[in-house]
Amino acid sequence: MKKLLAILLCLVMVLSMVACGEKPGSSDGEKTITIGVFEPTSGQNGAGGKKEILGIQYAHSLYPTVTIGGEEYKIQLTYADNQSDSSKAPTAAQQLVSKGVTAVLGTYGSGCAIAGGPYFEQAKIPAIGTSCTNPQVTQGNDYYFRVCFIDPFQSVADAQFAKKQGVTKAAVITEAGDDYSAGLGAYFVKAFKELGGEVVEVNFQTGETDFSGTMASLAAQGIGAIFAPTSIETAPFIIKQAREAGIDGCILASDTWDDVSIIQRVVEAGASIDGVYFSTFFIEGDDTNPAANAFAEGFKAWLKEDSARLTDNSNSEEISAVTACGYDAYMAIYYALEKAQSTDGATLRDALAALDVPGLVTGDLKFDENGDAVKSYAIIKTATTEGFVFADSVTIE
Amino acid sequence: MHDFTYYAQILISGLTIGSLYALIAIGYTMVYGILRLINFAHGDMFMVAGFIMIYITSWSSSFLGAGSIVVGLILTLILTVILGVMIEKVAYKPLRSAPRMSVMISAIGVSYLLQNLSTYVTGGLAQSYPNIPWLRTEIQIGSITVRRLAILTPVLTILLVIALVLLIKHTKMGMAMRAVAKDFDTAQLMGIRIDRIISFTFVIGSFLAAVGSILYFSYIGQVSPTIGAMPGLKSFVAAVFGGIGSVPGAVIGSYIIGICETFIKSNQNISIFSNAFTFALLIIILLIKPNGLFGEKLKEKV
Amino acid sequence: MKNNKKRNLLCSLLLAAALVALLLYIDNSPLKSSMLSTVLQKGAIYALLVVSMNLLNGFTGLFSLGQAGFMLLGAYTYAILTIPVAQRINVYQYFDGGIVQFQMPQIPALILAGLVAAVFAALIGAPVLRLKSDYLAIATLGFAEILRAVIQWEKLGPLTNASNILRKFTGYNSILFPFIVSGICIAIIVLLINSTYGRAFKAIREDEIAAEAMGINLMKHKMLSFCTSSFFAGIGGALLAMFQFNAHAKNFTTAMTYEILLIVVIGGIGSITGSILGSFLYVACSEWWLRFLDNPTVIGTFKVPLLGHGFRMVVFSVVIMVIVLFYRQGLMGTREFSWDAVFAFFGKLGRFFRNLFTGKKAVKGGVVHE
Repeated sequence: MKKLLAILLCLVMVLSMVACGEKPGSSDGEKTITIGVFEPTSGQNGAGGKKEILGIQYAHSLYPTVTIGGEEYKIQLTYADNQSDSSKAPTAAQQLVSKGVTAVLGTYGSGCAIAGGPYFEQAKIPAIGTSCTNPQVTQGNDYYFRVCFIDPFQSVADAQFAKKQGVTKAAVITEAGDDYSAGLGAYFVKAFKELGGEVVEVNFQTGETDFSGTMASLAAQGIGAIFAPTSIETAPFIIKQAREAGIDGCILASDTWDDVSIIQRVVEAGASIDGVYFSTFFIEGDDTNPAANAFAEGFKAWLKEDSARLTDNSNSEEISAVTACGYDAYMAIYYALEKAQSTDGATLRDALAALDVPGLVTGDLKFDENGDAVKSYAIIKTATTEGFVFADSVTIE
Repeated sequence: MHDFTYYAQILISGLTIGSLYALIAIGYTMVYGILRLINFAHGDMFMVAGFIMIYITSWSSSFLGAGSIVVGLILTLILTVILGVMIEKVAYKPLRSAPRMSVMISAIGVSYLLQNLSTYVTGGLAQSYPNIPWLRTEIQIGSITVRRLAILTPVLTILLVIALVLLIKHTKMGMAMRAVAKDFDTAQLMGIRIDRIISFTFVIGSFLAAVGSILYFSYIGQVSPTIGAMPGLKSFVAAVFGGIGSVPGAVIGSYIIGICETFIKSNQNISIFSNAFTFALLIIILLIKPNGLFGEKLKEKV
Repeated sequence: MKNNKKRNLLCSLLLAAALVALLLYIDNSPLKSSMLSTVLQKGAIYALLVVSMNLLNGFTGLFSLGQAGFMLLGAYTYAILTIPVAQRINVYQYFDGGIVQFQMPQIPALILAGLVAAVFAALIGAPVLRLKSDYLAIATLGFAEILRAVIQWEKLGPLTNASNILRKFTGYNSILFPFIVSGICIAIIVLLINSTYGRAFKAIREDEIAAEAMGINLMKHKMLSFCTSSFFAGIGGALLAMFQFNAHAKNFTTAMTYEILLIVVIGGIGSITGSILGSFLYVACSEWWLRFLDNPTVIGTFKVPLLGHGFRMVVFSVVIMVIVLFYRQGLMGTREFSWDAVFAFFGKLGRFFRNLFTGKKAVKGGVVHE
C-alpha cells in the first residue's frame, strides 16, 4: 500500500514536470499578449479585489486587442489570487512571472503590492497598482506604477474635510499590524494636528469584533469625529458600536470603505448609516468628468449581462471607485503598449513613465518620478441607505 | 476622571462579553474534564452555528416571513448539536487509544477543515447576521441605556449554568459524567457506557456554543469564517483560569477575562494588548496555581 | 555490510551532486523565474522549519505551538539588522529612519536571528516547559500572540517599525543559498538527534517519568530541545523573510504554526526525511500543482463542479484529516530514508517482474517471498 502510494507520488511528480514544460502560447497562429491580474479574490480584501477585476474585465471587453508593429495582438488576462495576505503574495506574483506575462495589474491592498513588487521588478515586468495607496509600493521600485492617489494625499483630504465640518478633536482608530491602516492613520494625525486639531489614537488587533469598551472611552473624551481607515470587514463594527456608545460625530474613512456591503450590514444590524464619509477616487454622476459618466453607463449595462458579475459586485449595481481604478489601470497599460509598440518590459516601462493621457475615469493620467499618478483632488462620498452619494471634493496643491 | 455612568457602561459591556465567553468555555471545560482534550474545533463550531442561522433564515424567509427567525433559532440549536456529536464520532472517537498529541492534531485538523469549508461555501466574506428585533430594543436603567441583549445575555448564561450544575450534581447522567471525569478506566469497569457519556458531553457543549453564537452574533452583527478562533482561544484560557473541569470556575474565569479585556480596550495606551493580556494571564495562572482557581488536582497517570 | 556502507555513501554523494547540478542549472537558465524554482526554494526553507518543529514535537514529545513566534523573532532580527542605512529613512518612514543605524553582514545577522529566537525561548522555556502537554501547547501559542502584539506596538516603532512592513534588507541571489543554509542546519539537527542528547530526547518522549528515573535531567534536556528548535525556527524565519523580500508581523499568526505542524504530521512525527519530503510535497501541491482547484473551470460547455475559490484548502484539510485518522504514520512514520530500503525495494520489484515474465506464480500482493 505504502509503496503503491510512493509510486503514484513519483508518477504525479513526473507528470507535472511534463505539464509545466508546455508553454501556453500562440499555437493557433494568433498573436497574444498576456496580462497578469494580481488581485485578492479571497481573504479580508476578497470583495474589493473582485470589484477591481470587474473593472479590468470591462476594459478588456472594450479593448480586447492591441496593434503593435502593424500586427494585431489579442490580449489575454491571467489571474493569480494573492489571498489578501502578504505572505501568500510572493508565490502568486511568481506564478504570474512564470507564466511570462507582459505586464501586471493590481493589487487591492498595499501589503500585497509591496510583497509582490520585487518579483515584478526582478523580472522586468511593469506593474500598475490599482488601489494600493501606500507610498512604499512604488518607492525604490522602477517597475511599479499606480493609477490611484497615495496615503498622505488621501489623509490630508480627510483631515481637511473633518476640519471643514468643524471638528476639533478626532479619534484615529487603526488596525495594529496593518500597514495600510497604520500609514493612513499616521498621516491623518500629522495633517489634522497641523490644522490645529486634537487627536486621540487607538489601536486594535486584527480580527477584533468588540469595540464597545473603546467607544465608551472615546465618547467620554468628547471626540467630534472618528477616522477609521480599516478593512471592509471591520467597518460595520466600528460604525454600529460608535453609534451605540453615543458618538454622534462624523465617521471618516478611506477608499476601502467604498463598498455597499458595509451599508447593507450596518443597516441590517439595525444601526444608522448616516454621517459616514470617506475619501475616494471616483464618483458616478460627476458632470465635470464625461469619461466617468460614459464608463458608469457602459459598465452598468455590461454588469447586468451576467449574473456572476453582479454577484462579484456585492449583488448591487453601485460602482465602487476601485472598479474605476481597475479600468484605468488596464487603460494605462493599453496606451503604454500602443505607445511603446513593443512588449519588452523595459521599453514598456519607459513608455508608462512618459505616458500622458487626459480624461480617464479617475482623472488625467500622468505618472511622477516615483511612478505615482499625479492627482490633485479627492472626492468625499457619504453613505445613505440607498447607496453612496457625493458629499464634497477636496483639492490639494 | 470619569463618572459612574461611564464605568457602568463599560462594566455592562464586559459582563456581556464575559457571558458569551462563559457559554463557550463550558464546552471546553466539560470536554477537557472527560477526554483530556482541548477541543480546538469548539470555537469554529461556534462560527459554523452563526452561518447555519444565516443560511436557514434567508432560505426560510421566502415562505415563512417573520417566522423564519424562530425556525432559524430552533434549527441552529439542533444542527449545531448534531455537528458537535458528529465531530466527536468521526474525529475523536477513532483516536481514543492514540497518543494525546494525535488527538490534538486531529482537533486542529477539524478546526482547519471547518474554517476552510466555510471560506469556500461563503466566498470568505463576512455576512450579516439575521436581525432579532426583540433583542435590540433599548431599555433605560437609571442613567444607563442598554439593549435588552446586554441584560439578557448574563441572565440567560447564569440560568443555563445553574441548570447545568444541577444536572451534573443530581442526575444519574451527571453522576456518570463525574465518574468518567474522575477515572476513565474505572468508570468503564463499573459499567458506565463511556461513549454515551462522551456524546452527551458534546451535546451539552455544542448546545451552549449554539446559544452563545446566537447571542454573540446578534451582539456584533456579522459572521466571517475565522471569527470563531479568537473567542474560542480566549474561552479556553478562561476555562483553564477557572480550573479546567469545573463549570463554575469556567464561568468566573470568563467574567474576569471579559471585564478586564473591556477595561483594557477602553484605555487607548494599552488597547493593543487586549489579546496579549489574556494569554499573559494564562501563563501567570499556570505558574502560580497550575490547576486554576477552582480546579481539582489532576492525578498524574503513570 | 561494509560494502553497503560504501555503496550508501556513494549514492548519497551522487544524489547531492545531482541536486547541486540541478540547482546550478536552474539558477543559470530561464527556469529561475519558474514555479519550479519558487517551489524548490520555499520547500527548502519549509524543510528547515518543519524539521525544527519536529525536533521538539516529534523527537522530544513537547507539544509546542510557538513556532510562528520564533520565526517572527528571527525574521525581524535579521531584517532590522540588514536593511541598508540609506534605505532606512524610506522603510521607517513614520519613525525618521528608526534607531538602528548600521547594517550587518548577512551571515552574522542570520546567526544572530537564530540566537535572539533561542534567547527568548530560554526565557519563556524556564516557566512553561514545566507544563503538561496541552497546557504547554496553549501557553506557547499564547506566547507567540503576545510577541506579535509587542512587535506591533507603536512605542517600539523606531526598532520594529510597528505595524509597517520591513523590506529592502539583504536577500540572496542564488537559489542555492536557502538549500545550503537549510542543509547545514538540518545536518546539525540530525547530529544532535543521533547523539546521547537525542537518545535522551526520545526517552523523554516515550515516558517522562521513566526517563527521569533513569537519571535524565528532564528540565535540562527539554530546555536544550526547545532552544535548539527555536534557534533554527529563527533562522528559518529569516530565510522566509529573504524569500518573500519582506517581513511583516501580521503574517506570523497561529495559522502559520498550524501549517507547519500539519506538514510535520504529513511527513511523519519523528522522521527527519519525512519532514523534508513532506515540505517539498506540501509546498509544491499548495503553491503549484493544486492551484487549479481554486479556478472555476469550464471545459467546453461543461462547468467542472466544486472548483472555485477556497476549494484547494478544503481538499487540503480533508487530506490532513484522512492522514490523521487513517494513516497516522504519515509518509514515513518514525522511519528514516535509507539506501538499504531503496535497494531492497528495487530488488523486490526486479524479482517481481522477473517472476512475472518467467511465468512463475506471483503471490497476491505483488512480492514473492522465497
